[in-house]
Amino acid sequence: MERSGDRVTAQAAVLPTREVSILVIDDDVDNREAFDDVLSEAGYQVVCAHDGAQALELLRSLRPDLILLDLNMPIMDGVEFRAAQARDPSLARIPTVVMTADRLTERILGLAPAATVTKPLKLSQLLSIIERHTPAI
Amino acid sequence: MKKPLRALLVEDCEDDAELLLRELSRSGYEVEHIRVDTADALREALATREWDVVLSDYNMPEFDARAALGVLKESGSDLPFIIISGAIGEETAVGALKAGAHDFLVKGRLTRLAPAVERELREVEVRRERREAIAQVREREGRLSAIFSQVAVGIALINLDGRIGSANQRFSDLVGRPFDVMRSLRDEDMTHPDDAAATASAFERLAGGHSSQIEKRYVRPDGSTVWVSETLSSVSGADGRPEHSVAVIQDITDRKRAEQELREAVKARDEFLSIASHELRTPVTALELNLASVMLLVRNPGPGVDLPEKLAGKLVRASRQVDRLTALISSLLDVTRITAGRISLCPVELDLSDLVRAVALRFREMIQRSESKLVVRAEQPVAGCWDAMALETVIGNLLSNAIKFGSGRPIEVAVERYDRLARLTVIDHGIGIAEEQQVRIFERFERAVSARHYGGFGIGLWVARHLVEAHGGGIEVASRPGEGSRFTVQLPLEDTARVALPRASGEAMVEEHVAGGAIG
Repeated sequence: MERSGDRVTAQAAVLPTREVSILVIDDDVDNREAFDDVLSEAGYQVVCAHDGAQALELLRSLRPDLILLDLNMPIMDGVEFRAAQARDPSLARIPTVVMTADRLTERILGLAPAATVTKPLKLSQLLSIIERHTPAI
Repeated sequence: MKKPLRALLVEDCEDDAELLLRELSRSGYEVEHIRVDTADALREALATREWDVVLSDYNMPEFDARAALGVLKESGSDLPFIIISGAIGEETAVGALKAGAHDFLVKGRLTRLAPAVERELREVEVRRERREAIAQVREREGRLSAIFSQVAVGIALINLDGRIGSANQRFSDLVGRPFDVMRSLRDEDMTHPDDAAATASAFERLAGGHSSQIEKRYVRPDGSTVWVSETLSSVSGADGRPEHSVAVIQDITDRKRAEQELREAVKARDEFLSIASHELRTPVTALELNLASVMLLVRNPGPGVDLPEKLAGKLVRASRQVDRLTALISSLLDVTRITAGRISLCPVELDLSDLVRAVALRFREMIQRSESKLVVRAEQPVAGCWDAMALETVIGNLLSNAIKFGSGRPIEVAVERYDRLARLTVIDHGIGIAEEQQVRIFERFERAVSARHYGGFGIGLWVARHLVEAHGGGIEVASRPGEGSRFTVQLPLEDTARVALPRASGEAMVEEHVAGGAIG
């Protein structure tokens, strides 16, 4: 189901020869830096936001191919961000991977993410999830 | 073998007395006797000797049977009193019997005398036994009632209609009602609404013949509640049918309170453990990513990359995560030490201003990354005798809070002398703390904001408070939501790690062991 969603996104994004872009939303500055570092290294274009509110601000002008969303944040947490995302069909289409340092709960699965990862995570695992949910270049 | 008989004769006529004695002797009695014919003589005879029977003439010149009976009653004696008289009217005889004489015989017909005496002696014995039995019952009752009123448990007898028939003082004290108020009530009427169902079913079980024990609350008229363990059993009458129920209640309020506190402590600990594991995962995540990216870089450096420099940058980041983990782990150790009551202070001469500047330096990078600014006003040396590690933790905890909750606005740290105290102030202009939270934040695992949103163990201020108090100092906060917070730590300047000020809280588990230095 996510896969077909991906294709829709991919077909909608008609820009030729562009990098695959990822929006990382995490309140922890060290984590943002680490994601930025390692995902850039892996060839993705990375934009970071420190909470849901800043992410929505960025999404006014940005259409990333994937969102990597932390759940526990001040200002606007991951749950609230998902709700805001769902209200805007163009944002709702963006595959969103939810990250949490807690155990997976009904609450988290209820957010209907494209995938979930629990922290701490293995890079290889994260990259394969990202690859599966983003268009091949 | 003749039966001994001590007979007191009230008789003016020697011959008549002789007739009586002869009749008794003939019937098998060995009689020992005295004859009196005045009230005084009778009184004296009763007072000085023991008797088995009084045999009295009805009419005498100076005395009569009714007066003699009066003397006997007056002496408190229960001796059989038999009247032996010449012919008198039936009415007179009945009157004498009513007055307390035990029998009435006519002088000419003395054959009835011996059986009458024998019967009366038996009667006396029966009356004595009954008196003794009653006395025994009374004594036992007295003992039981002393126990009833003095035992440490509350006891109530409950009638079959459910109303309280009687209750001891302890019961009355526990339910907070004098007995006359309780009398119109049923046990259920005093029971806490939440425990009514349990009480009702206990009484139902009792009706079915099963005694039971429940734990429940009573509500007193003043609204306070008392936890009791209530044992209900039923008492049957001689016919085997239940006559009433007995409720025995015991105060378990202290135990219940302790259980509640324990539950809360366990819950707080579990929450803490869950927060702690969450907190530890964050730097581990960054560390894992840092190392993975080092690996990628080493395997595939790409063309024209300054590998050593790039690697160094990544390793600096990795090392920062290790620092974070170290700080988290040492604050976990702080919690363990404080909880176990093992704050060991090693006081040394040191300059608080120096120390604050050193800690501020350590936080420089964290402050830069938070986009705020730190102003340190600690130029003048403020020397005292304190534990350097403990104060570093205090300063560090206050600073990291100021950064975390400072909304990126300027942070001020100041050290100054104030009277005979050293004063450290940490001011931020961030989210601030609501007034109702300002006491709570110094407690263990407490925080003014949600752990989900701000992270942290929620112990920094608790640890700081304990370390400051162990130095005989104090910590307080002034804050307004949205405007920021000012934390003030005051430490005695003298070698006062010794002189503990009165504690702010009643926590008993903390005691200080100070290495070196004689006490007071």
